[in-house]
Amino acid sequence: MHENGKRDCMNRCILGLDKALSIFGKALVGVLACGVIISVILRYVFSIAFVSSEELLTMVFVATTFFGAALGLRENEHIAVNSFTDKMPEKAKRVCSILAQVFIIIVSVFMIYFSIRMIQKVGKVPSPATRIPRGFYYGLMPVSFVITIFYAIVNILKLYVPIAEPVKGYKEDFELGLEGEA
Amino acid sequence: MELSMMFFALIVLLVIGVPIGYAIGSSGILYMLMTNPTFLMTFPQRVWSGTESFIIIAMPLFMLTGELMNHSGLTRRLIDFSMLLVRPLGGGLGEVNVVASMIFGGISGSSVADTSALGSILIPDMVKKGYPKKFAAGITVASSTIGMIIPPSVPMLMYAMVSGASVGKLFLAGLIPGILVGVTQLILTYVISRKRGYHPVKEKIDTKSIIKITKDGSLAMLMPVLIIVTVSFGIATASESAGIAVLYAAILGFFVYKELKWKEVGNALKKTFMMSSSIMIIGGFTMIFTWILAVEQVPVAIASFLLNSHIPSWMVFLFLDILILVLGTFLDVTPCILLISPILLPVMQQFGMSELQFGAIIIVGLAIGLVTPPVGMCLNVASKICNMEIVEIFRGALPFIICNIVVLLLITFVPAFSMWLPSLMG
Repeated sequence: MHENGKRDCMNRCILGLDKALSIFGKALVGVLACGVIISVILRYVFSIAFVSSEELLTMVFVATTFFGAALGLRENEHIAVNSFTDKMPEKAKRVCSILAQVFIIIVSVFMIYFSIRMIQKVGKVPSPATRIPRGFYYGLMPVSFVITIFYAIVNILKLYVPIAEPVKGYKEDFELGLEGEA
Repeated sequence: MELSMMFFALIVLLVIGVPIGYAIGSSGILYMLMTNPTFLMTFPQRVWSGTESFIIIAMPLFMLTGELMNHSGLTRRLIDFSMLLVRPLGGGLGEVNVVASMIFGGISGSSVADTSALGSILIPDMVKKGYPKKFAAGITVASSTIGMIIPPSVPMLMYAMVSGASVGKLFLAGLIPGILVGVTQLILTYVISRKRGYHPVKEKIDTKSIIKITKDGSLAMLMPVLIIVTVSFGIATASESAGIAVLYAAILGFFVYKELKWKEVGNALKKTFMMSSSIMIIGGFTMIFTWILAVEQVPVAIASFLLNSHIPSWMVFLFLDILILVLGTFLDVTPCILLISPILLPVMQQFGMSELQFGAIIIVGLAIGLVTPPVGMCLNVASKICNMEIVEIFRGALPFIICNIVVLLLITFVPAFSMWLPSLMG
């Protein structure tokens, strides 16, 4: 019973993080689209151009990349070559799956450690347009790669204990196809 | 030695299923540890620089446009419009499939989206009208390759990022090859359909319907025209043009077609978030790979080897086509572009090939990889739609893929096919 309680709590935490990242991601893409549209209208209709908007929108885009990549690990959205592992026996497939997550963790650890070093070194340098310290932007890297490590561990645990499936909230391309057929 | 170890590690990691971005990152770390560990200080900076680009913002925005259009009931309208276009030829759903792919490609910029959206309606419709399932699925996947060749094209944006080529000129470089693939496939479909008696008896259609279908179809077709004109003539940047496309798609979906719902906008935003990041994280880590190749002067070494071997340039170009086709069967389009462009573009430039022609070749060549087993993304989607083995669908697509190969050879050996339109821009 106690074990089940712990597992429920863990699942709630994982699903909560999934949802938070999902909402954050939607907001980022929404801001990106609206930001570009507004800057186009301001530039072409009112002849007003903000130099800082380009920098801010680029940073929003960078954030979509790093946080989306972290959530992509949970939702199995990363592009990989699966044609070899698909043909492997179940046990070998499981070993490869664990190895893949271990390599993701190794890369993430390097990213976190060296991005923090980078922030310490050049973090106070102001950005060219908004004059915001670069460290503020570079901070996206360690934060997103901590989440990446968390999801990689979840993926390994998932092979041994029941963990709730992620809720994607959208249909895959082939699912749209099946819907059309029906 | 270090470089060989890096490539070996990369291949092993890819084979065991490590996501491509992290496989590149891991092998890059290995290289840096073996050569000079202080290089690692620049590791995050290079990944960052690979993702920090205002131009590439166009990629998620084009994806969002395609998603919004998909949820706006555009697919059925485009199919109806394509039917109207092939009516004077006496064509049937086979020809409709090709024409709709050409138009749809100008909206979604993605071949997989094309197979999914058009295939889900056209494959069952074609089977109902008496077309063999193999033919219906085959022509659907083969024609969907046009999606990533006709601008706007998401893979072209990725190529522009790694090569530094002008997005506007690249779009123009892909226009004639895309139309050529479409026209040759259209002719072949017509010949096969006529020979096998697939063409339907012409049904009457009233003027009111013609006007409605034309209006709906033209409004959708206006979007790719708008994008190509604004980007190619320097009126707007690719990102600005993509922003206009999102706005246009939202207006069409909410106010003209009136089929777009707010909930679907949320889903489209989430899907765009995931698709864009899965591509861009590879782009980020590829910058490490590109930097290592530059440090080790790999492209220079390959180019001097080929030049000193006195191999005729036509043979090098033919080898390039074969290499792209082979790699395309194992690797997905974007990783392939990101991995091979930094190595092969400088080599081909030594043989007089421009970055735009190389871009057109790599896009047309890798589009074929989408319909060849074992890693044919369009084949997988079609297989799920019509419940057929991917090898069977591939057999059905094979005659049409030959059209793609002919166009690939044409643009390889006759540069004007890809270079003429961009040259008009100066």
